[in-house]
Amino acid sequence: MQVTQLLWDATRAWRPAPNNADSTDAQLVLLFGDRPTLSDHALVIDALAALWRRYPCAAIVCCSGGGQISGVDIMDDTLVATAIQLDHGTVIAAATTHAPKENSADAGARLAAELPTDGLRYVMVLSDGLCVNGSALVRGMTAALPDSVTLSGGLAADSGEFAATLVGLNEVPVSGRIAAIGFYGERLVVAHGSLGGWEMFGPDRLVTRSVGNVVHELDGQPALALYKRYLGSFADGLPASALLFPLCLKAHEGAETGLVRTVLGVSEIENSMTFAGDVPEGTCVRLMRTSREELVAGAEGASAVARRELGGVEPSLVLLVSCIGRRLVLKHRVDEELESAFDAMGSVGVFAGFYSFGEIAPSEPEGFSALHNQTMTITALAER
Amino acid sequence: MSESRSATAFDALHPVLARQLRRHLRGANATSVPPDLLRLITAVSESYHDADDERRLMASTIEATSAELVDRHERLEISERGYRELFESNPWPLLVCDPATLQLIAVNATAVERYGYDRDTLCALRLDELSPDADAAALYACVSAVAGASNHPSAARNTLRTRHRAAGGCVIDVDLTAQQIAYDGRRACLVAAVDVTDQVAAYRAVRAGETRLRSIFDHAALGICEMDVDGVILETNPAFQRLLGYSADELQGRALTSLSPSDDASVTYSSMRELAAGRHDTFSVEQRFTRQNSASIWGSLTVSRMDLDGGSPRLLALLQDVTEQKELEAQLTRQAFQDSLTGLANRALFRDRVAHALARAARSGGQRLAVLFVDLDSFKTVNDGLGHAAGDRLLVTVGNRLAGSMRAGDTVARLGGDEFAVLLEEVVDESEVLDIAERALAAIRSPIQVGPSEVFVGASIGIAFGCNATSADDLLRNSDVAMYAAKGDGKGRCVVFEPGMHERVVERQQLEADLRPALERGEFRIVYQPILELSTSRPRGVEALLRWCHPQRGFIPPARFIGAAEETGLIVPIGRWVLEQACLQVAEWRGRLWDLDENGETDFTISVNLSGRQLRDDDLVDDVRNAITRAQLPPSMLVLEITESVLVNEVEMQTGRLEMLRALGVRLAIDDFGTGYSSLSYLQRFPVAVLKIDKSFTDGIGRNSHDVAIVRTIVALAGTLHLSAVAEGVEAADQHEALVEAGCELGQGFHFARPVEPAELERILESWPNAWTTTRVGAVSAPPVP
Repeated sequence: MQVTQLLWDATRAWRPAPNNADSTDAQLVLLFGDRPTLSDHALVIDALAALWRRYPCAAIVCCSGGGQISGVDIMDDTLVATAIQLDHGTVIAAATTHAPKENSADAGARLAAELPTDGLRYVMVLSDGLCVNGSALVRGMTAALPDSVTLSGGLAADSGEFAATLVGLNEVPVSGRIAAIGFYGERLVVAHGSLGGWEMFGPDRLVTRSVGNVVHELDGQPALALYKRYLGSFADGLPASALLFPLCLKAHEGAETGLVRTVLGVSEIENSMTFAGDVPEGTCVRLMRTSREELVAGAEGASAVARRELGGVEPSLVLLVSCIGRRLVLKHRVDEELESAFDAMGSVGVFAGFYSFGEIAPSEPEGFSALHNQTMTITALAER
Repeated sequence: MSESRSATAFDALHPVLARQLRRHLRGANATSVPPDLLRLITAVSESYHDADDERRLMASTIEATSAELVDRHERLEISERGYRELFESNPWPLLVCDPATLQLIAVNATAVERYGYDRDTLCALRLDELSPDADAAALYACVSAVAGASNHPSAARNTLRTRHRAAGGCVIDVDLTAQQIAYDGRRACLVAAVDVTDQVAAYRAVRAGETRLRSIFDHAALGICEMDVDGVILETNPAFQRLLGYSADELQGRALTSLSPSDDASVTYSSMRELAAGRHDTFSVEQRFTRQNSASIWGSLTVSRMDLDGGSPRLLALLQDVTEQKELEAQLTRQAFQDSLTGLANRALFRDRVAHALARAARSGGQRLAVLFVDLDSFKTVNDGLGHAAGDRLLVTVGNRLAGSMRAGDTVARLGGDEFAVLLEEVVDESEVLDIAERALAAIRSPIQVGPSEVFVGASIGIAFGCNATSADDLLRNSDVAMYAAKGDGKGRCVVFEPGMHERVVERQQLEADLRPALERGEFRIVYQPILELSTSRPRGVEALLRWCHPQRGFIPPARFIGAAEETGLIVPIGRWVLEQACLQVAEWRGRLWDLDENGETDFTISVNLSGRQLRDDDLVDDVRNAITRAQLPPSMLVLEITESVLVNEVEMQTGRLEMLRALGVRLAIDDFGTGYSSLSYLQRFPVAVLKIDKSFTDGIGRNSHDVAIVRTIVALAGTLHLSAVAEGVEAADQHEALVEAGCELGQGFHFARPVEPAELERILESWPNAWTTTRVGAVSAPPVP
């Protein structure tokens, strides 16, 4: 397996990053960029053309993010392309458009059905982050895919705003697209680790009124009022500052872990909070908090898990899908999580990825993939 | 990094860092610091800021969390106090105990108060120590069941009615509810004890009352039945079940009306509906009920409505067996309207029927109706002769025959004694009625078997028609008068009422009244009619006949008064007088009018009529003997004439008397022979010497071969039995000739001579040739003397 990473520079050309070997037989190019840049139609076409000149056989998957990962750096305002060539396997890419009021599970199932299951080992999914119900999408894809297949990926993001997210396959990326890339090959090694670094605190609370991913009341009290109390002076920074207190959805009252749900927005009028994922009524939840050290430690931990799972095989591609929320908390120290992850991986592998609106990764207790928030998800790929 | 930028960066340095810089890098400023170091310093400053932010955030988090926890704690405390209050101040005594040991763990204030212990003492007790010994076992069972139960809520609760003893020893009835709960982190049993002493007492009182009422219901002799508002039986008492012969189950659910025949039931049904609708409160009715064995009884039913609190009303039925009363009533009714002997209608009913028939006739334009008044002839003979029992049987038989002669719709009644009456409605005309009356007469005339004897009665029937009467009494009286007339006319016949009959009856009654003193007043005469030998016209005897010369009314023929004389019994003294006079008269003639033979005897006879009444008279034999003795008449000259029907009737009873008469030497003639039912044995037994052939045969002998045959037969019979035959009522020469040809020896009638006074008779006899010639010539012509 050979992985090459290129950066789009001001001259509107792809520049190889200093630490990469080149390969012209790449089957897949992951093209991550910020939403404004990917919205530039002409630019994108130029970039795609240039890529195809280099890698004529490649399927190019575009995805917008809130910061693009290249090695241990975060790139904003530019495009990062990662070219992948499997020596002993193949790649099949598919995409579907999510209809406006469609059940995202149906879309996921539809998409997954386009990937032949014979020899399928790993599916990377990159989805629109605003009009797709990530939880449902993952449910739909999981149900349609064989249990042995690892599913990971993420929801495309906007840079700090919630205007639009763009995904595309061999095309100029647009809203409402979902792309899935199937990796085939017996010799493929897929390892995964995901960790948040968030701690639950405070009393258990009951979601007493919610609709889908909009929470109105916790324990009979308006959810927004609760958040403002906890944010104190930071309440001025809502909705962004709500990222400081994601919700942990517990399976039951005594559970010690659960799914993290990050706040996407608030409504002063309705006193409600919109989360990046369903929060059903009756769910037992607790507030979570963290510190920068803990977040960084989380990233480090996720990487360590993935490395262990590799079982001594050196990773070629390391896909990191982190969360916008983490970046906003870490602020300028965000590169620390990348550095610590890189160190924990053994300082090997080409690191690519983006900061997303939601991470898709195997969920620890069950093993099925789920939608996570505020979590560093690391998928390491190699060929034996 | 530009100068302006670095200047700004320094200004924005974290105060702590700025202070540190000032201390450790004196004189450092934006321009003196190399760019790399400036970047480092900026990064560090940002870290310091970040640290501050984190601390601030942590502080607000801790504050918010604490506030929340305090708030929750307070709310929990309030809630706890509230729940505590619910326990303590609960109006029912609440006790918490260990389910295994029954040791009390907690009690509420009400329990403390109710049981009379102080709190500590009470909590030191076990639950079963509150129970009297007898009730402890049930308590264990109740609590154990709860303690051992699974977590299912309903299984973890148990109730028990038991007794508890308070501190002072007072025992109360309690309803315990034991419930499994978690208390203080462990399984416990919550017991609520409700004092139900009053309820239990009240319940017992109600039960006692119910038992008493139930007992009354069960033991009442009257049949009681409870029904729903539609008359469907809900419950019955034993008396009701016995009355109808059904079991309680068989009765329940049936409609009361289904136990009666449908005619009776339909009236009751509508009454019950009225009752249920509230139009009255009660009703009573007598109707029939059908028992389980299909027997029918009469029941007196009283149904009332019971209005209960809530729900629809019930109906209460009381039932009594009145079958006997009904029977009695029917019997009394029958008695009131029925003649007990014959079963026919009695006078009262008959009169009522007649009145109704008249009214109907008046309404519908006077359809013909008639009343027959039937009086038996010679009933007294039988009654006095054969006894009252025989008389009763006779009346019954007559009643049956009378009824049998009538049509289906006619009413036959016995008015009393030997009087009957018949109401004939819708008769077409008079002849129809007469036919019916004749039929009745014939039926009654037939021989009636009374024990070993055969008797004969006749009847006299008076007929009255409705058109002649204005009222029932009127009609009855008319028919009575007509009957009377029939009697007077000779009995054994029908007479139709005519206006004016009354007068005749009155007249007859007057006649009877006059008859009484007539003998004393010498108003009677005896006339004599000769009896001749038909072949020679030689007088052979005379018949004495009675005549009455009433001072006002003149000559009254015997047909008019003989009946009355017989009925009144006056015939006895009159008959006695006739006998005497006739014997005396003949004795007087004997010496003058005819010769005697060498023995001093003659074959001349004097016939005197004898009535049944005379025959019944005890003094008859003496009277006869006196008469012939006084007249010094040879007994063989006296012939007593008795009509065939009288003889037949009297012969049984008067056998002795007749024998005595035979012993006297007098002879009997059977008058009106051929019209009755005489038996040949009588002719043998008794001193019958003469058969007098009834006038009716003499009448027909000239024209009617049938009558000729009869006459011949009678003559032959007489010859065989060595009797004389006398033809009565010879009125024409051809009859005379025919009789001679038939071989009849003797005859009498207008053809020869009418009945005449003695002086006239003498003259007639003297004027006849051969009148007095005796048979001295030879014995050939001497009639054999029986």
